[in-house]
Amino acid sequence: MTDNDPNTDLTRLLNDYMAPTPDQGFSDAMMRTLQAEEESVDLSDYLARPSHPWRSWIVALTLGLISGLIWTWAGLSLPEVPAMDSPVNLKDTDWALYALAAACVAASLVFVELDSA
Amino acid sequence: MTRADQFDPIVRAHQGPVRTFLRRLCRNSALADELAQETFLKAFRSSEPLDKIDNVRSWLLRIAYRCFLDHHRRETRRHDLAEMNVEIDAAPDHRHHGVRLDIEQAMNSLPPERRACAMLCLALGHSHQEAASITGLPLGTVKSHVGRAKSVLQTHLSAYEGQTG
Repeated sequence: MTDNDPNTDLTRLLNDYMAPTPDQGFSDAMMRTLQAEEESVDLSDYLARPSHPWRSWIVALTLGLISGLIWTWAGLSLPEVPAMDSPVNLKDTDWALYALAAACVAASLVFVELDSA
Repeated sequence: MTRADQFDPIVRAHQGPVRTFLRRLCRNSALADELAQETFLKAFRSSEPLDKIDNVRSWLLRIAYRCFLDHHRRETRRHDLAEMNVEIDAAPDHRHHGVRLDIEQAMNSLPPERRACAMLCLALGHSHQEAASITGLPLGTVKSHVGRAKSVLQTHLSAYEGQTG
């Protein structure tokens, strides 16, 4: 047999073998499923939702508060609050590390928010 | 326009080829339709913008083939599906005469991976490169599968011709 044989042309037979399946209501049923899916999770709204970077700061502050409570509950003390002329002087105290950690957590959360949006 | 509205013409235009592809892979119409539904749902849930997709049919066939593979792996873990991979005798069964049935038997004799490559390249007209992208197989493997499948099909059909001609 060769591909050129008109009676048993392989390509023709394979085309016949792969003839598209008749719809028989499949598309309508599928579209009903997709509509239901869209109504249950409104993807377009979700994707269009603006990100709120300030939420990350609130979450970071909450995490800090919880960490502080656990820290206190564990009997550990926070650094002393020194007398400061200006908030800029904070960088010279032990609190600078905490501020840096909070900033890192907040920045990470902002990235997560932006990525998921 | 909602995403469901965008999908309406896609489902109607491509359900036929996708379902046939899955039916020929699964050899079970009900299961193939379940996998076709899963395919369109996965495509629908995909975050990929539709206007960025070059070839929608290839994209859907790729998802369909993954759905089939996932199902096949689950089933293989559950049962021994050696039956699906077994090569049938070189001489076709001539109890049912008809070239159409004969090509179906010949295709069913191929392992699913080879059958998928044969369907994509020999029947649906995809290039080897496209078939490699759809199946996730290396290009050389696809070429080898297609070559071997063609040889098996020709052997089956020539044996059939010898008996009937």
